Amino acid sequence: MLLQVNTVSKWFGGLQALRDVDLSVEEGKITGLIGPNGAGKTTLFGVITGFCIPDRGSVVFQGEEITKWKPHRICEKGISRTFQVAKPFDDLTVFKTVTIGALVHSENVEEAEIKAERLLRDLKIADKRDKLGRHLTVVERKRLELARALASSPKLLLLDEVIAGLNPAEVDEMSQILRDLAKSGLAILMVEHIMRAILSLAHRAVVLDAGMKIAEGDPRDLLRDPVVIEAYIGKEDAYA
Amino acid sequence: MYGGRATDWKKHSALIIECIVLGLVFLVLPFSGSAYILTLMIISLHYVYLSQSWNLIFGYCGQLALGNGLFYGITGYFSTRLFLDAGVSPYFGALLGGLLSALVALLLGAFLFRGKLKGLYLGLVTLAAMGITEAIFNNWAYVGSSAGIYLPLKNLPRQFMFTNRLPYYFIALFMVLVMIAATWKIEKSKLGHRAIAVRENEEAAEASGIDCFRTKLVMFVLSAFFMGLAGTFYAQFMLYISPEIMFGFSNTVLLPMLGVIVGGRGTVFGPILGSLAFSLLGEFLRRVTFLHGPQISAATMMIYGIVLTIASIRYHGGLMALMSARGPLGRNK
Repeated sequence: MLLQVNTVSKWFGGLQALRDVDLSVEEGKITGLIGPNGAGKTTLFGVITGFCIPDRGSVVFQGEEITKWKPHRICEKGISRTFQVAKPFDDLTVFKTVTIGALVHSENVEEAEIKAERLLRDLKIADKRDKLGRHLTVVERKRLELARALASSPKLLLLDEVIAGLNPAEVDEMSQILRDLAKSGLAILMVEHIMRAILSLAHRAVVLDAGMKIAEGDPRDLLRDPVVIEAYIGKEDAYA
Repeated sequence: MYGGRATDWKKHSALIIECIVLGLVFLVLPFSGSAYILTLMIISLHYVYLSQSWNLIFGYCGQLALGNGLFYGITGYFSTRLFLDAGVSPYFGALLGGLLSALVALLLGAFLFRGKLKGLYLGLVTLAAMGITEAIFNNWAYVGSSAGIYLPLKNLPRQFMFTNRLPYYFIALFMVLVMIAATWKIEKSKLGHRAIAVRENEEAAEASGIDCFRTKLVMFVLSAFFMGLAGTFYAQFMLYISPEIMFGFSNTVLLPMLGVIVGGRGTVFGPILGSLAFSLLGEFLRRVTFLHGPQISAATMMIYGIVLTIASIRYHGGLMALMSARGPLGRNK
């Protein structure tokens, strides 16, 4: 197992954002992380990537415990993430941003630039190369986030809603990119609200609700699971 | 990597021509025979250098550290005392003092950046550190208290002392050139890229594998080292230092700030342009005939304040950004 999250709990003041959550991610697989708003998905991402230190539990990556590591060290180790609200470098060009992302495993800037150039081509944003972060559309920002995250050559990629907000053609294009990445051996853990994307992409899905893991398994089965339906739609409406 | 030498030349030819013109101005004008012009140029270069030093921590790394005088003063005093007490040449004293400033920056920076201090608070604490040091020096007899220290007026080239101003000019010019080269080198390096990422967005930088704490610390230490060397230069040029000057806000903080923000932060040429523009502006204001005595400095400060406000609110990229559409100097972004 590439990543293992063991009984992680996190409180924010009196609110328990995560309750004894277990999660595991395998190489070359896409794992979906779904659940209603406020379920703790983004907090769990924060815990895995070091932005958020859990009050209990541990995170183990490639057999090594990384629970209290700093984010940059976790990135260096091989876990990369995107942010739900894309955080571009406003005053930097797309090319520079991706170059910076590629520095971590590059000997020098030139090597990072070569990597960045290739990634921009692969992700089909080479034409935005010299645009500043602040001038990008939401869709372009998401693509840039993905490029920046991939630039650090991760073994595990955490995607926080990279598909929400795309039009159907863009969804298909992004899905193909993600599928290809998984095929090349990358593990992906993705938070997504668009069920269609989870159904078509994820090999496995985990459902969070109010900080707890309530179900786990094949996405198609999960959507028929009454517990999951209840979490999403509410008990009475589900049977209405 | 992309395109051959011919296109490189085309791309840079205008820049090279501008550099040649600037170079000629800086090589010919000092020999005009006018002591006034020479002094003005030395002081201008001194501010260009200071701006460039501050540019490293603020312009590239985005950290509003304002205690510049701390390093300027420490190095200036250190090399001066070392010279007076042990006869150590200030050239060497400057390097030792610079290292001392770097050490102070390392300790102070470790404390500040570990505490994730930034923006206004970082500015206030660094200013406070400078103020406290000034107070200590004001009451410390060994460094001449508030009366300061005088250096003898002698012609001792090996001791960084000249009765003629021309050598000071070339030393100042040399310092600026070294600073430009260093800034250029840093900008192109991994460190420079990391610093820019920290400036733009710390979370995204961390997520990209950048150690924000370490990056800030390294840039702060470099900035302090370079800033310190200017302190020794000032001491040798003026042959007099006092806490008020060496730890003073307007000399060591305000003017570099104007140079960097108005010129264009985080660029190699911005602070040069900005500082030169302000040196000339300041000199022009001194010559306005209807102003007298204290009115001059009051008017100067007012105008500095207005320009800084406008630049901060309206023109984030400073002169460099304004020129980028027109002149080749601005094209290096």
